[in-house]
Amino acid sequence: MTTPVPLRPPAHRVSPAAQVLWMLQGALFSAAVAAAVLGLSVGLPDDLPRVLEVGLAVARWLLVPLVLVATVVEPVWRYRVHRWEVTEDAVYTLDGWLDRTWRIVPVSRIQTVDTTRGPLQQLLGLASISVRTASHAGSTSIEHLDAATAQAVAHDLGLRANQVRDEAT
Amino acid sequence: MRRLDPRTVVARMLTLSALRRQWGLVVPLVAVFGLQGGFRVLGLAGVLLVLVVVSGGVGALEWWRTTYAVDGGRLVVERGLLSRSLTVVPLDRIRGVDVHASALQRLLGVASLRVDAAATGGKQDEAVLDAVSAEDARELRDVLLRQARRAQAAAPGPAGPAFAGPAAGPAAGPAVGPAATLPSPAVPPVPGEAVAGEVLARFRPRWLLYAPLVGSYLLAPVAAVAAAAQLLDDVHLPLPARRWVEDVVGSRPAWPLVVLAGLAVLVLAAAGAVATAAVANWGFTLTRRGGTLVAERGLLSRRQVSLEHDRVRGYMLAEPLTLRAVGVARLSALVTGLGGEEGGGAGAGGSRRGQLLPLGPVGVARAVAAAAVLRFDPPLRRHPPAARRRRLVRAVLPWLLLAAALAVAGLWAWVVVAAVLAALGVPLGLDRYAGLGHALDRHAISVRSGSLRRRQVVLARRGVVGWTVRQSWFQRRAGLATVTVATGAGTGGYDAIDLAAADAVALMAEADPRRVGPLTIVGR
Repeated sequence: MTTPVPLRPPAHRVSPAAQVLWMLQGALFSAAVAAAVLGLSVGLPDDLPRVLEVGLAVARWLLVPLVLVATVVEPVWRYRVHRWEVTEDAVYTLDGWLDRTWRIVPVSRIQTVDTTRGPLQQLLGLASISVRTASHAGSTSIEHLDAATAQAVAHDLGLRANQVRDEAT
Repeated sequence: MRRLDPRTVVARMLTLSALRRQWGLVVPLVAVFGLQGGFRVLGLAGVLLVLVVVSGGVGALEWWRTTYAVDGGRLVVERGLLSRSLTVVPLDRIRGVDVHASALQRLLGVASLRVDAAATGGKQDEAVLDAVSAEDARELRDVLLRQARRAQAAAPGPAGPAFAGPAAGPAAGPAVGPAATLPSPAVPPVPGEAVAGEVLARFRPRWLLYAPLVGSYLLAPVAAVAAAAQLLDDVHLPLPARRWVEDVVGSRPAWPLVVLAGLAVLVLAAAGAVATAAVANWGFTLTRRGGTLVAERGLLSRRQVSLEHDRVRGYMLAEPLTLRAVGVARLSALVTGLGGEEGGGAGAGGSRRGQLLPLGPVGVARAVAAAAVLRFDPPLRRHPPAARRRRLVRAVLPWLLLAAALAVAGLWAWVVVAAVLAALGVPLGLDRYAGLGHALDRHAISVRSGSLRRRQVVLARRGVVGWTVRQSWFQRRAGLATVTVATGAGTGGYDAIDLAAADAVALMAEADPRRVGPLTIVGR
């Protein structure tokens, strides 16, 4: 039995290419973990305390599921969860996979709208928008939109925020 | 154009502060003097005397070269011996004016003025007048704040704060120095400005007895003692003294002695805490002057902090476990542009800048909050029983897991420790659950959480800049969710932990029907 939060999901999905990016990130992460675990297994002396030995054995067994989750399950799952929308008065985002986070930022409280494109994002034609208010907790970002959409949304948000800005931060 | 108070020169001379400030000038002089063999001729007392005299001379030069004026809607401070520096603060950017007087300055009857301003881009900037006569400091503060408010009210566009009423008077009036402005009739009073202040809170000396229950007061003298011990450690004690110390430390402890020593340490620590609290908070008063809250405090050096009411977004009532046991709380304002209550803010004592009552009975604290910030009466709504399960699991489970791991490792003594901590987690978790609550009325929203560090935050609804709902996988199973209310003041966000998922959305929709309302799924 689960009880979801009774908020309707935001209207739009992020770009499907986001899955590729998350897969690449997951692959990098699991490669690092695998290198560490296997390196320790080979490199450490045999007369280890039992706790460490057991720990390493468990880590080796968990390696395959971890790689699977990081490179396939999480990216696909995230893509099914992540959504965004700019309503009349607010920026509304949902992200996460096991944990979910809904964020609602009134347009009138927006102070800056930034678009960023990391190297992997450029490769895949993606961009992220970060929407900042006077509070870190009241800020949000829309990750991995296709670059043209991101630019249009950021431009539109910037204009609207300027029109309705409420200085009462 | 005005000069600082001439008595400043005396203060700077005696504290050698002028020397410290101008060491680039002084060090070469002293070096040359020393190379000439001057120190040997003069002796130590002579050198000190020379230092003080030079310091006085430099201080006098600084005094002569420092001028300030309130002119054309700006505060202008010009200073510098060789290279001149000019600080210009537009009055409409002033966020607060603090008056501070050290013990020496109080003896001399002068005070320093620090003007906090928002620079463009949200960065903090400040101008310091060190020092003017105590009277001038007070008057200048009032003038600056009043003109700042008028300048803000008159500023075109959205920068104008919520100051209604006839702000029609001469906007950022003609160029007036404070001398011209001080006899008040020239300046029509700003709406709502009381001539004298209304005292909202007054610290009672007997509340100092609660100080040992506050961690920061208790730790301050302990830290000082530790630093002193460190210093002693570095100093080489004379041999007999060292032998005595070694004897005491090395000898087999006699239990009554150990107990006595322990008691003595406790008493000393408590006394130290009371003393620390007294130095910081003696004579604390909170006064409302027009649209400004003024907090004044301090036993040796007096500090006066002004908070603009327009920048206050709410308040936080802190009731740590120890204080709650005796019905005592601490109250601070959530102010935009002040930084988090842990964040330090600007300069020394920054974390105290928003304090409205450093320590006092919880009833008094609530009354002060209602008078100084906003009145909030609705009782807190409790969170569902699933939240209690979750608080318990989170307080107990980590220790149980640790105990299990330690058992695997065979460290039985540590297993016992972990088990005891797990057992203590039960009352802790229950108390954390008892602390959870939230409420809403027409003007404000309130959330409370914590046990050892319980805090209730009451936030004006117009100060909310965003909403976040978080639901972990476990929370989804339990039908719970956590709402974060974001604001530009304090730490930036405050959590209503483990509400029923439907209540989480209902709370946001009720508080912000326009933005959140259309996003909710109704009829579930």
